Amino acid sequence: MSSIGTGYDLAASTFSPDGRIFQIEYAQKAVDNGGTMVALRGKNGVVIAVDKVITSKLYIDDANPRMFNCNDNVGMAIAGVYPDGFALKDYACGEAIKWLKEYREPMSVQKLATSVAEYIHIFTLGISRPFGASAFFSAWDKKKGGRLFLVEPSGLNYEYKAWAVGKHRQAAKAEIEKLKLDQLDVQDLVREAARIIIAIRDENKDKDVQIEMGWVGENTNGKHEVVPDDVLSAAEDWANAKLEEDDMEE
Amino acid sequence: MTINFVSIDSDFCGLCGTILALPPNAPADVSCKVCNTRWHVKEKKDHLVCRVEKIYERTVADTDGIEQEESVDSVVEHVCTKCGHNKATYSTMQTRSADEGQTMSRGSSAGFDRHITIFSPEGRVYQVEYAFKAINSTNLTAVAVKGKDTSVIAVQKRVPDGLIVADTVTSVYQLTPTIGCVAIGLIPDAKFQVRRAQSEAASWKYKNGYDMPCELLAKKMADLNQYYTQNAEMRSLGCALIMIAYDDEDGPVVFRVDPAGYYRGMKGVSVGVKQVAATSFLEKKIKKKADLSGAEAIELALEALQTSLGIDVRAKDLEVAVITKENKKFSKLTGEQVEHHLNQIANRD
Repeated sequence: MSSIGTGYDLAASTFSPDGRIFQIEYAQKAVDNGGTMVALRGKNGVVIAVDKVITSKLYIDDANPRMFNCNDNVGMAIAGVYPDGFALKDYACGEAIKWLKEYREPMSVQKLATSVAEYIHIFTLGISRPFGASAFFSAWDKKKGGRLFLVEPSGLNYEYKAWAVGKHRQAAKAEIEKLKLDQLDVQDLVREAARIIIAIRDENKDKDVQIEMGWVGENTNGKHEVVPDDVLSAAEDWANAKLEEDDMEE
Repeated sequence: MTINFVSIDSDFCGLCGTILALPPNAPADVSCKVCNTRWHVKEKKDHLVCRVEKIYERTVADTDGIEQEESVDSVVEHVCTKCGHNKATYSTMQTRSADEGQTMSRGSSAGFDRHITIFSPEGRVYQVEYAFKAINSTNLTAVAVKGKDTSVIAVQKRVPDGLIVADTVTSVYQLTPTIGCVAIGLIPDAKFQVRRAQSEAASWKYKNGYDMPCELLAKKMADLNQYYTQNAEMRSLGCALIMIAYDDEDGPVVFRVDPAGYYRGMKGVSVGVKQVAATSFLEKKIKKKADLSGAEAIELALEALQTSLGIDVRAKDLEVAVITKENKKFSKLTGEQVEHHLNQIANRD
């Protein structure tokens, strides 16, 4: 009953003697080793922030984005193995467009998340290797308010009030639980998300990182957008100042 | 000038630190070769310098009472020169000095039947047995009971984290307006099966013009499960279903479908981590009285769940769903209704 697998971890079509599927657990580890991503749902919007690792100084500024639009109103953020996440984004956008063409109205974020989760699940049955990527789906509309979904490599799909994935997710979740999310406006969420990401960074290991954020809410009229650079840098400055203040108090 | 000093350390000269020549006998006078000071060397009696004793016991391990665990060697792709089988185990040993390579020995693994669904030499299909273990992975238990004109499902509800929106966590699903089910096991596999069942039932209604009977839906899902156990392309799904319905001819029905491809109609059934305790409780109660009224069936299911879990469950930790003769639609009980039944049970005791 080892937790390393030894022989039962060669394919997703194999159960281990204690009923676990190790390939799926390893795929989850691929996501857990990636850069941290934090998603927050507030009073009138949803914000997703990712700590992007810049692997080369030769990249142009917006290379390898992690935030996408599946529909005008549904935003998607990917974590984990980048090419796998990109393939998921292609599938999600494809599904959203098919729905729009057929029913002439945008696909709801819950249905889209479920559809992507079912697609991911098929790869866990053994025909191929599982996806090593997780995806957040976010949307906001007047009737239902903000909604946030996470799809994991196992095919699990839950709706969240807030969540974090990646390297420093435990620290991020501890920070999130201190916030009173349903009182925060989208502007506050952007600042808090920046503060959490900067606070949990490991100065020695996390170098060359850049924050990328996407928001959707009342202020964007239900359309998902990448947060404008000036708002983002203002939030980062606020976050750095707040953290210095907290350091000085201690 | 010769002064006899007594040095602190009789091996070295106290003045200049040079090592003193060791005299053949003691007590004696020794002079330092460098500074010519004379030192008096005393006798050394009963002087323990250093002693180390290591006692090694030669023992033989006692393996009489211990079962020999089958060692799980790693399996790799390697074509056997004798029989052409493409999987073999290997083990390595150091039989030469450390600067030379290790000796590798390969064996054909008698355990390769653990990886795909084929028979073992004893006639077991290990992968299906392991799929049953996966059912307990979420640590939930579900109980279903049928009465005279009611079928009931009761299952624990556990929300994994406080940040998850509780409404999206459920194990109870509606397959058609008149058939409901609870799926216990790996959650993505459960959702996959439920989707397939919903699709099969809808397709039946479309082709045949009437609702699919629960027994036939259970049979179809069981046949699919059996297919996965016989084919190497896909693994079995790690979840079991309990379906309930009110059938036109048979009345209330409860069906259990498991990963092996086995399905049966039951009077009462339990699936999950505490299924043994719950099943024995149900057997005792149903033996005494099998034709239960609606309330009695619900209370029996709840009691079975409580007894097997060993803790007091509250309405918010439970999901209860019923189908009755009057209302053939699959419906979940509200929190107050569940609370009412729990109070009835508590008052009875």
